[in-house]
Amino acid sequence: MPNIKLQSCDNEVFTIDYEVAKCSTTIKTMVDDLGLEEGDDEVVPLPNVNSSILRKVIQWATYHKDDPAVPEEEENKEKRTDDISSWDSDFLKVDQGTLFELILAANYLDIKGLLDVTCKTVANMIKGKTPEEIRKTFNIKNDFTPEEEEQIRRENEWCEDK
Amino acid sequence: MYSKDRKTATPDGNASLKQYVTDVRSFSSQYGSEISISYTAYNICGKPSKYPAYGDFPQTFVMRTYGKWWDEAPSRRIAIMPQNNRDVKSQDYIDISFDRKVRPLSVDIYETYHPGSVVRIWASDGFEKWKLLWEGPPQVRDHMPNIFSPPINKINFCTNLLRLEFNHSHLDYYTEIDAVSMTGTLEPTEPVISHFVCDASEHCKPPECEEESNSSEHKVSNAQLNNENSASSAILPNCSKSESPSESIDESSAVGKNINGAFAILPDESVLKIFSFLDLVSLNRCARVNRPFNALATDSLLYASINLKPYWYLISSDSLNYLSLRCKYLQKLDLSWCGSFPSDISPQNFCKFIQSCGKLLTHIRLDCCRFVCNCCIETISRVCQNLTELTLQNCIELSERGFVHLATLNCLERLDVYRTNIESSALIAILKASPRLKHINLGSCRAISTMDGIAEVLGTYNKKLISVDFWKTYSLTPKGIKYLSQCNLLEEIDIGWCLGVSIPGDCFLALAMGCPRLRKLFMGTLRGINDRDLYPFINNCPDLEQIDLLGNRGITSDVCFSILKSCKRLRFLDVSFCEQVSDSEVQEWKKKFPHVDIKRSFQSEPECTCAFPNHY
Repeated sequence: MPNIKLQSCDNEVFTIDYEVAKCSTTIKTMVDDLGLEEGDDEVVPLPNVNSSILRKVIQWATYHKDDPAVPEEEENKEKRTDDISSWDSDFLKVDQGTLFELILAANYLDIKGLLDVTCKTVANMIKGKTPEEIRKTFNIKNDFTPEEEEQIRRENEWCEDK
Repeated sequence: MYSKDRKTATPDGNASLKQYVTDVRSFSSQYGSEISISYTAYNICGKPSKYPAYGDFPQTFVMRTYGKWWDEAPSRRIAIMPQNNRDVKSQDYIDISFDRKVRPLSVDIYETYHPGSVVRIWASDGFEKWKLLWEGPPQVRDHMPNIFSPPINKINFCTNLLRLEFNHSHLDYYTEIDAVSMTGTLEPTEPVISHFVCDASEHCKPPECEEESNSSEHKVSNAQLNNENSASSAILPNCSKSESPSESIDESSAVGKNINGAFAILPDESVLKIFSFLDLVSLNRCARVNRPFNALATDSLLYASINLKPYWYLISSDSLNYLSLRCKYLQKLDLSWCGSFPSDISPQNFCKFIQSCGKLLTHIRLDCCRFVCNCCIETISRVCQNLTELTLQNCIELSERGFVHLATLNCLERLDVYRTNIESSALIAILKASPRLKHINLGSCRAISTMDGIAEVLGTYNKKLISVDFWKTYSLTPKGIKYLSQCNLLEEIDIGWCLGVSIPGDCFLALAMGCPRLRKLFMGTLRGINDRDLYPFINNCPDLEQIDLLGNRGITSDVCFSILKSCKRLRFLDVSFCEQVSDSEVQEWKKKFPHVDIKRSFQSEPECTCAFPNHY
């Protein structure tokens, strides 16, 4: 079954190599469940992904289709955030909205590699910033009362350099 | 006293004093043993004894490791929460003290062999706080003696206690430190009282104020900085309001419903995934962003593995108290190097933490934690029934009464008691209770009177053993080696400087036959061994990767060449001070076997050629 058709939530249909598509555990499971076979004209609906994000996901998956499987037990290696490849890093030079939509799509489609690299990218945007800088960067509102904020500050500043 | 202090006047007229180290308070590792002076930490005291000579001298301070070799050995430890590590990780440290407290102007480190490993210099007021004087990446330097004098930060207190931190992962061989001097100005009065004022104020000082207080300090000249000034400059009473932006929030704004900005579209599990890549400082800052962030950043799922070692200078009982609220699922804890002063963490603080968060713990690392006493071990043994890894390097407060509690654990896979006072009877009880044991480090444990007895227990009860470190334990004899040969899965053995094995008989034949999986074989300075003792390893252990034969005067180039030729996986061979192997042969081998890192240490002073073998 060389090709597979994927339909985005805005009804665009993408025909791609199944070898590329199966990096998504979600798609692989759907294909298995639907019992799709070569020559079938069935379309796999992806109601949670729009066409512009799906296009990006396919671009990423195509580039990474020959990546070796990530060994499961290396729990610690994947905690590093300084190991993002230059291709991925360029690929993720997108606006914040797109980056977060990619996380959402990678989560829904269950693509571990894409989820890791997008989450690491956001983690790198958080690292080294003060709480206020984090709020500014992601347009987050502070909803603490002054008393709460003081309490929370005390609870959380013990590992700050004094 | 070792050092002759030297007083001079600084340009601004203050008396400045150059002092050498008078004492070593603590350290993480040393090449030397507990019963000798060669290569020990205390050699850092006093004036340089070797500088400007360059070479391998027993009169200097040397640490136990260098390069990547120990990280590639079967006994390597997995990293816990590695995202906390700084860009430059500190691998070893030494705390050194000087006679008189000064405001440091410069620190000079005399490096007489493989310089370039110092990455941080800290100064302490001696009882509560540490301030960073300098940090920088490890240096690649020429093979020349070096006085390392980095530009240091000014600090607002006087010190006679420094910590040097090292990263030697890039070095070709052991680094050697001959001496350290600190030059600084004396205070008009010893500012002992002012520290209490400083500390109280700094606890309520948000980090943003730090720059301000520093810069205001820089404007004050040294001469003016008496104790009243330093105390008041640190207080800055109006700092506490600086970072609360709550007044800027407009609750009624149009986007009021979405307070999480870009994060609003993500399910909690994705936010947790992002947070799982954060270090503890960043996590704690996320917890201060807003309520939803707080709820997620303090989620116990993110606190299953905690590594506090990179924050050793900040961790107090408060830290443990706050953390304990989040550590419901704690499995791995690295507290190494924390609690450098009694006021930081008490044994009671630690026990309380373990009692509330320790049930699921599988890994505990407490290397160089000075608060660890017998009651801590009792608590760990009682609470952490699933413990598989316990490391207690340099926990010198522990005695037999504490260690014996560990015999109630029966899942231990790794026990590291390097440089502790563990004794035979407790250790034997622990080993008999730990059939799953894979790694044990008994290096420099001088209170074990009969290492052969330990080896007998290992060979009988611990058949799953993969690595064993007997470094510089003098009671091991060929009899013990024969017992060990019953651990058929053994991949790594370090019997360096185990002088009791010097006349090995046929014990190495037994070891090589019994342990065909050996990958690392460290047997430096076993004086009596000869070629005959090594051939069994060549014939029976095809996986050998690292072999240390340093100082073995009885072996010839024949067996070395056979090792190089026959051990296809070999990558490391130390033939330093093997007198029957010539330098020219080593040069030849280096060309012929470029995939093997062949080590050949040297001493540059001709009169010292005998110094190495005679100092032990």
